[in-house]
Amino acid sequence: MERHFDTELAALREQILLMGAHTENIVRKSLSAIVNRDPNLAQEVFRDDSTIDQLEVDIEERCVNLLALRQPMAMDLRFLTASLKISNDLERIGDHGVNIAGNAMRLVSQPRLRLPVEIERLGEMAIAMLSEALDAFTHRDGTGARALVRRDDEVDALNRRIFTDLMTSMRDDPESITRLVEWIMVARNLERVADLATNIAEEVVFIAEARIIKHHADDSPRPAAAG
Amino acid sequence: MAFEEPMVAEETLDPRSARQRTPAASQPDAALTPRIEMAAPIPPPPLPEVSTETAVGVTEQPGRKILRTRQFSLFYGDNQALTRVEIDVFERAVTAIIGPSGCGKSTLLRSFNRMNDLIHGVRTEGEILFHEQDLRALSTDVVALRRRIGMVFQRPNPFPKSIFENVVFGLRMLGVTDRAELEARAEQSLKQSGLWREVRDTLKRSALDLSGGQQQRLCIARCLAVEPEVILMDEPTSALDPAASSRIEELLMDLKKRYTIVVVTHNMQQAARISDFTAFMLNGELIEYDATRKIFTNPRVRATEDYITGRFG
Repeated sequence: MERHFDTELAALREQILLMGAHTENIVRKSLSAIVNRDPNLAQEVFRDDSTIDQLEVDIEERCVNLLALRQPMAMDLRFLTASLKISNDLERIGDHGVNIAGNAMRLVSQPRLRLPVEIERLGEMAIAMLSEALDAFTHRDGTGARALVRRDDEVDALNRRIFTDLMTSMRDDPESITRLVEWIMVARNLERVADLATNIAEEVVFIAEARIIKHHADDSPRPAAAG
Repeated sequence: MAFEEPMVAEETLDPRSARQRTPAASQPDAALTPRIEMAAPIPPPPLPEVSTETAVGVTEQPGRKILRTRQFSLFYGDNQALTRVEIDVFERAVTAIIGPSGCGKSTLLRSFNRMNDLIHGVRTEGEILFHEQDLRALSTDVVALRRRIGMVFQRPNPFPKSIFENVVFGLRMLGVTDRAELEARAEQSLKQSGLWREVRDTLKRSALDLSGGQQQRLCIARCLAVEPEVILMDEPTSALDPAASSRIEELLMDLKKRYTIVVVTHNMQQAARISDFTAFMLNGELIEYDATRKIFTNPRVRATEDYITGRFG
């Protein structure tokens, strides 16, 4: 039997995907602002973030209403509680985009340095993870989400390498320390984007499989937390 | 199921597409500035303010006020069952009346089509307006009134007749004799009540052979056949199992596209699920009346909060 509640859940899912699309755009733009030293793109990021903030508020209100009025159970309940967390993760990703745009603004005002390709690569990895986390959410794909969680280690490793390389560069060229610190912060923000994409993937596993896998909770022999 | 449709697609990678989507995203903004109807500033006592948000946070213009009570009181002999109730029932919406046993919710419901007239010693004060006409005026033709304001009861009450004859009973009473018309109206009503596919081949069988849930949908079909404007429902699912109750609930949400529904229910969760507006009654008084979303997430009155959170009642 088709339920009216399904229509409301579908509308919520659409709104989260819309927020996801905005969030992905904001990270992409901020990275592009760094790569192309484009202050206009950075300004766009600041503007776009308010849309994301508003969506987070709307989604939270929608979730609370649905929890109160529809008394969801099982999969529906997991979907709603996970949606609250996912929208919060997306909002924080937006904030990291804003931080990166801030780095871009400060870098633009200083002489150009050749950007390490690793930072761009780190950015592409983070954006790909976010995009795939949203795909997994769309398709309730627990398997895909689990694979994504494992990729977070690669991002962390690359971030550590960038950090080490940039520290070396600072020793070699103290003149450029200010700019190199900005890059370290960019890399740090991109790594956080990947972390939050991982959180989203963990929530997708919770929706699809009723298992909590964050903090390696899934490794313990306890039964699944929710049915 | 909710998750299987393709998402917003790859176009979302394009920054422009997200910007284009922004107007859609901002639609729910309206929810943040609900339309509030201003209460009257001077006596008679102000009407409750009714915010008009639906469950999912979209503000909708409520329909016209089809039924209104003004300072409506009802007495069973010396006992006052309703005290100066003021409520507006909006067209094409589900209005739920909740409250503990004996709070007067069924009495109020039955007042809407003058079912209380049948009870000896009932006296009323104030007005009930249906399309702005006083229901209690002596000239009101009660039979005609009950055709326009139908009722479905707690226990399914099919007549000991065939399924078909049950559905067309009201039409026959109104003098419809044309077989083709009766059949067409029966089919339409059974489709609207979600029963058609289950009974289309057994219309001549006794209605008493149907399950409880089917009998209740048959009673709804019988009510729909005379094309009422308002359907009053008194605990329509309390005698049914959960699956049959869910079917009735889904049915009500379909029917509200065409009909105005007022439902009395003991089941608060049901009121939350199916209604657009909720009235909370206590000791014969209307304590709070507002959009269901408001009542169940942020009621204005402490007594409402205590009741819906299970602190009393």
